[in-house]
Amino acid sequence: MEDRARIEEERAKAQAVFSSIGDGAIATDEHGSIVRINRTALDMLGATEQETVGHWYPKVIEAEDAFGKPLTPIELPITKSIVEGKPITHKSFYRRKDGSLLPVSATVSPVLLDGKPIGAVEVFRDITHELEFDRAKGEFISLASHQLKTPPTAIKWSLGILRDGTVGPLNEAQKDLIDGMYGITERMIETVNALLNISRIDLGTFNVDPVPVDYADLARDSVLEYGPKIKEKKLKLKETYGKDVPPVPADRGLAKIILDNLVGNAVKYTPEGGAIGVSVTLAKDEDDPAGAVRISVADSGMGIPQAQQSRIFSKMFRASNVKEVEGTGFGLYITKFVVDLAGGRIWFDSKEGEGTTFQVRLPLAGMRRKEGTSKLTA
Amino acid sequence: MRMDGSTQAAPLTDGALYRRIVEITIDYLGPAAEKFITRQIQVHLNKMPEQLEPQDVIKLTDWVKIAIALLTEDSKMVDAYAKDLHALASVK
Repeated sequence: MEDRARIEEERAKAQAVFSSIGDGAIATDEHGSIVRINRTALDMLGATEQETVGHWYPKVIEAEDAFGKPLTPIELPITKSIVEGKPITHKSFYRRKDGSLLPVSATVSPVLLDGKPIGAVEVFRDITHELEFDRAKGEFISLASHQLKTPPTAIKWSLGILRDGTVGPLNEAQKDLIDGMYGITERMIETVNALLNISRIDLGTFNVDPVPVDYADLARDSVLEYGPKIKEKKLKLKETYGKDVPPVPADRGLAKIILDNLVGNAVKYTPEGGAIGVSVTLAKDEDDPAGAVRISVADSGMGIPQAQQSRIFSKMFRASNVKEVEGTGFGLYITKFVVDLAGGRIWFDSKEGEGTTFQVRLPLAGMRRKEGTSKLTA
Repeated sequence: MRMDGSTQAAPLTDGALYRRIVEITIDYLGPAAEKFITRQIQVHLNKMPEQLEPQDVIKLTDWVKIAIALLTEDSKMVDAYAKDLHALASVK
């Protein structure tokens, strides 16, 4: 009897600790059913204990991503945590009982008993205020970037006229100075455009307008645009375009961002006399049984140091071996964002000093339409 | 056929156990099975698929069962799947 009383007391203590957690807390069993939920979680979800405890977690927790796409059971952090066997933190929107959406940051961990998984525990908090702050910050950057973009655009236009000799001939020294200023102004506009893109991504104000897009054509356009640089650096270029790549629904501007950034980086980070390869083909294999557009951009450039490879898609990250080369650190972040938006994958193989190959796979289903007030620019 | 008239399953060596698990999982998960099982072996057992041994099956089953229980509400199906996998633990 004493043992039983002690077990009951321990159980009551565990329940009290669980209930006292200031954030929402949910525990599930090995069948994915909710076995405990605290008051904070019930209040945040606008649900009752009867509506949650004993019910299957994916049925109770309806979650959406930032674009309003419902998360499937495999995409839920609780499933990812079990599949990966480690704690997972994820931001999403939970649908309350009244239909409204609650932005949350959830951390889920598997629960182990003598090494055996017996369920999972999730702690989640309301991040409405964090999102409001991020939004205000994003709006400020967006406004400031707009204002910053106007003067260099006007300067570039004027420098272009001077450089062309429209208002009179220039001597060599003057021409060199004007060329230098023109290049700096172009880079300034590129940085401001990148900042604008980032703020539009963070604010979610960009639109997605899918039309049938031929990725091979886009790749040819990018190669053409970088043609003068390729020629100037005497780069060997190999292009491969599959004839069977079908048009895929995509926002043309967004799709162009992928190609421009990958081709642009290959050109930028490959030394004179090096080689780059661009290919767009149709992939139909066990990874993509329904088919996918496969984009590959390879270079014999500087490569990415092994220790920094995991950060290459982070915002504002620049590898230590390319600091001398102009760049914003936004390109690959935006590229990955667009690839993710298209439901695709991006990865790379790289060896410092030998080169990098970026690979992208984009499903033939293409991008989904999204209303917005601005466009992301390449 | 053994001397006592019973049959004995072929030994599951050199990746055969892994392939058998994938075959069983395909019945429940479809084409995603191979990637899923490979990942589970790597993450939870720290092994390569071909290194899988019968004594690993129970631990592997614990993890895949709890993961699949979050993908389907059909607990009978999950239990049947776990039972099919458990049977492989005793095959020497």
